[in-house]
Amino acid sequence: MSEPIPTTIRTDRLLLRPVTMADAPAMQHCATWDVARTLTMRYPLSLKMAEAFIENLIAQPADTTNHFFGVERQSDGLFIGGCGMDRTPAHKKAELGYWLGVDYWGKGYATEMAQALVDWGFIHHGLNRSAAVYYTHNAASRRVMDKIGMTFEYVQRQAIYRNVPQHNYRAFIDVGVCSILRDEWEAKRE
Amino acid sequence: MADAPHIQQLAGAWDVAKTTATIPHPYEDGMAEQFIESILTAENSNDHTFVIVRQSDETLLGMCAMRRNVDHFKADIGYWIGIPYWRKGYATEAARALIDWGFTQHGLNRIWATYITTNPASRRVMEKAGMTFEGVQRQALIREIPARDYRVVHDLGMCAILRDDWQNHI
Repeated sequence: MSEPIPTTIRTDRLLLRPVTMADAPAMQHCATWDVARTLTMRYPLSLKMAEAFIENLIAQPADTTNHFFGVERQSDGLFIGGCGMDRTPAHKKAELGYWLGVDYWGKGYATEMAQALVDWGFIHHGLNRSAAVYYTHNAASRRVMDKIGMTFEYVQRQAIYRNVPQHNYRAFIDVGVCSILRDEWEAKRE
Repeated sequence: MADAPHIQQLAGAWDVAKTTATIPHPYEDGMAEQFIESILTAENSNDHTFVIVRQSDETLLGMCAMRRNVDHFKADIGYWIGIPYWRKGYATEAARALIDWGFTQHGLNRIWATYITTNPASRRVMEKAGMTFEGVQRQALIREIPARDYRVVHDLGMCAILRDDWQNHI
């Protein structure tokens, strides 16, 4: 592909953009247990850990296959969450993920983020398949996948182990897999 | 290193290579040596690769492997058998051995395997070894072999066995 791949994505209400060190406090603020229990985020997330995470992202080479966007609300410039995509170029596929601070749930932002990532992957990375996974106890995340036109594929039983002593939480978690293929995405856009 | 010529010969068969995600084709001179070298010098102690040898005559039949994910107490396994040794239950025997080894020696909770859906024989091996079919990832594997003008987008089937299943299976 000759034209550069955009590193910023503007949706109706949100801005998906590279993270900066200045995002660390807001990221830490968003990383509450209600959020952390829905994905493999380190918990509790200290400010130092958030900074190290961002430092790693900033140090990534331009040709990385592991993309992360900070998510900013356009109306007030607040950092409200993150999303990303992990590509496997050899198979023209990717897995995407998203999270939002609890204060920003229930407004359709996750759907907006996920849709933007799916479009970005098919348009700019020539993908053939985009998948997303959710912990089966998190029905809201599954609804996001349904809303952006993904198809449920199957459940990986006990695929993730979480041990968070602070919340007396220790579990093997079932992980649902959804995906959308390029054909399906094109048919939906027409 | 003494295994290299046998691996080259057996893995070099197109009917073997095309059932896998990674075996190169054609399997040229030196590739087996390189492959073995990469295993011997691997730094990741969570990847385990074995050759499968028939005890009665020490013939190399194929290979199998396990990749462990220690954070989640899980691993995936894979295997291939040379064509002359198909349909004798060797793959099932190897898969069972890996599963038992993973649960007893590595404290795993979940062992999974994938197969290309056009290869139902591999799925039968997984089920005979006690795994349960979980589902299909659509178009998850693109296999391109320019030398054969071969390009296929494969669906991948997933099977898995949990520690609880395994304890009940024995």
